[in-house]
Amino acid sequence: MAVGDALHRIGRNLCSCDLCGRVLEPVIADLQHEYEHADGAAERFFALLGGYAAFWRSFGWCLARDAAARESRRYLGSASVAFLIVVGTLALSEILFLHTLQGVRNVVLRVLSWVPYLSYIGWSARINTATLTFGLPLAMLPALLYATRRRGIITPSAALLAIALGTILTTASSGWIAPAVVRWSVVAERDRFVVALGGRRQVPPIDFDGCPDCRAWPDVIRGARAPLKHRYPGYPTYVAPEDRGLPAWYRSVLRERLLLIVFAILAGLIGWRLGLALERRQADDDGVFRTRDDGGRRVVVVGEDGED
Amino acid sequence: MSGHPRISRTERAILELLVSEGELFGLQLVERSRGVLKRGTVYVTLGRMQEKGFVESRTEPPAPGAIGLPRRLYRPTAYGVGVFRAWSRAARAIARLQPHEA
Repeated sequence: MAVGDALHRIGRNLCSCDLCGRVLEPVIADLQHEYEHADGAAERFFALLGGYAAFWRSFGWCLARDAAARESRRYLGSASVAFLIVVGTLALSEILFLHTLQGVRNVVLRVLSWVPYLSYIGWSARINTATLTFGLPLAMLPALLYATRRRGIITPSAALLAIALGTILTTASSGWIAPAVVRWSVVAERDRFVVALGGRRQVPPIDFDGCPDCRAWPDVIRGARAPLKHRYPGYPTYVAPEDRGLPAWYRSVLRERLLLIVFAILAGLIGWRLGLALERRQADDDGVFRTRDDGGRRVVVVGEDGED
Repeated sequence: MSGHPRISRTERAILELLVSEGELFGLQLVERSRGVLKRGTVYVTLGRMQEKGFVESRTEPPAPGAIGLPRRLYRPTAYGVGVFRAWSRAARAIARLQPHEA
């Protein structure tokens, strides 16, 4: 394997053929040439350093260029439409089944509590965040699958951009928007309680430190790393029972949110690759194009007669 | 006017080098530009110039026993030379103008 072969493979697989041939291959050729003609280890090291830096800079430009191309914009448009439809459907079902009819809600929550791991969704559903927490990463799969099927085989940068955007959305939704909704609902519930009491009892203020699900990303990270709390100055080593499991609880919430991000990436990747596989299979069946191996490079051959 | 060819500072530097020296590799352009062109962006600019039709390229003939990809040689097209000369004339004419003549 020659120097720069791995870079060449990355460029070939992630950028359009045109940009790879015009921009990336000359950069790699320079790197290989400089490395081959370098005298001594130090010169070879600097040849590698300069060549790699030039490659990644050019690669970034190629990805951006591919992602901004007309076909990529159409792909993102299709993915966005499918994403919104799926998220809208999930939100609607959440409202209908979990927040409107008490009878239906009880049945759904019972079913969710039976199925392993779905009890999380059941808990989130109680406070209006099931779609915000789980719906967004879930919608990545159908969105990418639909866009890939609709737009055909395109450069990977468009799909990667769609996955990156979906992941950012999932991060924002599960780590900021959903906790804000939980906080809002907890405050609203307390206010209703205070009004119902009519001032007959003193209601203590809400302690959001004891509710990791109400906290945004930075607070959850801080909470997971925080030492145990010593509330009582007279007893410096004493930890109150309600504080003992708090860091572990924060860590578990942090773990769940990170898993949601991984889930979003995986769902996007699966949707994209599945769409690609289905599209290729259909195109092969229709005889629209075939692929042939041309010196280690996959070349798309259009038509029955192999017209390139 | 969107129909007119646009030429950036780096594109001018590349065309100037190619017009004066003929066919060059990307790295040679970087070395001879005295810091105007950067290694990380020269092929991006050359790619854009190819799209615009200012330059054309060919791969170097394969040397016996050479490993790896062939390097690419760049030369200006007749259109590129024309645009560069027109721009140079315009730049000279603008430089000759004095504020009191306007």
